[in-house]
Amino acid sequence: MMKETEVYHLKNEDWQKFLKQTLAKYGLYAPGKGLVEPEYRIYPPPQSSPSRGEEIGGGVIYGGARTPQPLKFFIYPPREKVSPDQPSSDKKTIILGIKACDLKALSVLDKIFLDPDFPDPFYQKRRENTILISDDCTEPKESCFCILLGGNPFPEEGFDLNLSFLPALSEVEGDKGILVEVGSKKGKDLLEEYKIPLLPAEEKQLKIRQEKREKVIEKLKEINKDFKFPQDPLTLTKGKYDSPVWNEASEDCVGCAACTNICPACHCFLLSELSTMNSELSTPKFEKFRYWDSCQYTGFARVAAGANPRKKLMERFRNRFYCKLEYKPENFELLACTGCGRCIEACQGKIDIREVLTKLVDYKATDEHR
Amino acid sequence: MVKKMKNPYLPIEAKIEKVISETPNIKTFVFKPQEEISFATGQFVELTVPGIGEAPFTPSSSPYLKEKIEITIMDVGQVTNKLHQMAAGEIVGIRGPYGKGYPLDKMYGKEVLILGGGVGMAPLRSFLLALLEEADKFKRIVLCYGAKTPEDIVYKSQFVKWMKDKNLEVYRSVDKVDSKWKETEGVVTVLLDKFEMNLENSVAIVCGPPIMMKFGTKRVLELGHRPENIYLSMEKNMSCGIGKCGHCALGRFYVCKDGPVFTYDLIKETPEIWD
Repeated sequence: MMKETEVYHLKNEDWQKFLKQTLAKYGLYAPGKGLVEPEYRIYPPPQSSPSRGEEIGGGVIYGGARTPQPLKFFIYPPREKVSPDQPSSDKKTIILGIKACDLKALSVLDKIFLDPDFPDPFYQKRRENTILISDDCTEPKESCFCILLGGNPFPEEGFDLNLSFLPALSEVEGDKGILVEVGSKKGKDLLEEYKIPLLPAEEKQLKIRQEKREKVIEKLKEINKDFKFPQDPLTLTKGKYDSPVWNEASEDCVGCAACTNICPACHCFLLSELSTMNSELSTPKFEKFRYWDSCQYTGFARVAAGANPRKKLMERFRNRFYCKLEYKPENFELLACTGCGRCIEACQGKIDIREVLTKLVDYKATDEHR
Repeated sequence: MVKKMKNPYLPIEAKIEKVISETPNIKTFVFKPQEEISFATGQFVELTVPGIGEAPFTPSSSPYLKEKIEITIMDVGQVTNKLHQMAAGEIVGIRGPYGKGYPLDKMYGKEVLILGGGVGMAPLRSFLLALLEEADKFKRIVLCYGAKTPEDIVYKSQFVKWMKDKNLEVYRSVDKVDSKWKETEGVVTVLLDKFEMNLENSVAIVCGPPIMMKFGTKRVLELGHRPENIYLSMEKNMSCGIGKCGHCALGRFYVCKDGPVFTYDLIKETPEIWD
């Protein structure tokens, strides 16, 4: 079945006007100028920020690739008090500049935190209060590899609105501007709330979008030409549990957990206890905090009596791959790696997940020839 | 208007009513939770010791006992160490129950073998009490229990009663005997050679320390029990209890949500099950 899509065209200046208007009601996070590359910033900048005064529209950087910060930062912060109160803030937030890889990763977090058996009220509240405005990836990084895992560099689902920028320098008025795709009721409501002047996108404009997207796919193919992945990513790790590649590949791992911290799909946490006794009433006050944790840490799976299912670094290293490429797909029909490549950039040991997986595939091939 | 949701991380208060010393490092605590916690046998709860931490435990009391929950706890870590210093009247936090317990309905009409080691008898006591509550529904109930020494045997006074119960066959062994021990010497699996079961119509329930789980399951399989009729209690690091924090991952499963009771058949291909 063809997915019904609603795509509109609007002018750049109308979009910028709209964004300014939303600031009265919504908090806004968007990629802006960073030290090395665009990073997420809060708009308008807080009083103390030296970059205050940067105009919306002028300051927001669209397109490009995903930011260093994963989307999960905004919905599932590194540290959060999860008791005793219900989530307090009702502040609605718009996040701009999200790329397809991060949206896909968010759908994994949704499966975990919005599990109907035990929905996490803190995640749920923030998710409800956040509007996700994505845009097409236009400049994939050397570490990007979404296409190797069946993904695309442009969002196909999971967004409220998605933006595609038409060439700004075109002579023809209709060839400039922005195509806005509506992905949800939330997105539609936002457009209607601010009465943005919209016209349905023309065939010609959709064709320009399509051509731009295809060019980015070509770029990604070029970036990843040395990596051999099977057509079906679900076969990457199948039957490779005892492959010697795991020992070899984990030799440069120091177990620092940068890969899982920076991963947009990693969700594991430590539930920590800071509760105290209320001495006057001699009843306890339960205080619980949730901190990002990592399966890469030695004691992650250890039990009180001392048993530890993954004592060796190699076992923990391997577990990360299996969790992402086998266990999550088995449980949710979703890969928990979306090819954003952040772990490649973050790794102290210069371990490239694409190289590891290519070796794993190669190993199978040579094995079969034996 | 968003409905106010239940906060799944938040415990309720439970008062320690009584502390029973079982062995030099195992005590049974009788808790009275602020509100009744109704559980299926084999499910677990999370206990919070304020300021120290939280840990998962499977109740050892009968699921038919409603206002109180008994939990048998070995002093092995920070939380359990602090618990062992606590006395009647003190307050802890409790939340749960979580996970999947023993499917009693699948055991009706069958011969039930219970194989327990050490403090692994704790969840099995709850299971056994549940069985005895409707003993006529089971063809036969055999309990095999092993401990390191006679002193390390839990529920000493209850064993006296169980050994007299006509609905129950009880076999016990200890690794290291003393002068007064008249029962079997050796690891718990040696008890399995003392009787025969109708393997066409039986289930086996295994719970104990990791090494005993491994060899116990192996022996039960050798004897001919079917993988789908062997129930294992996989106690991992169930921290959040609600399938989110990842600490109790066992291959694709989260022990807290998918277990802690698994059939051997379900997890036999899963790596790291005995570690």
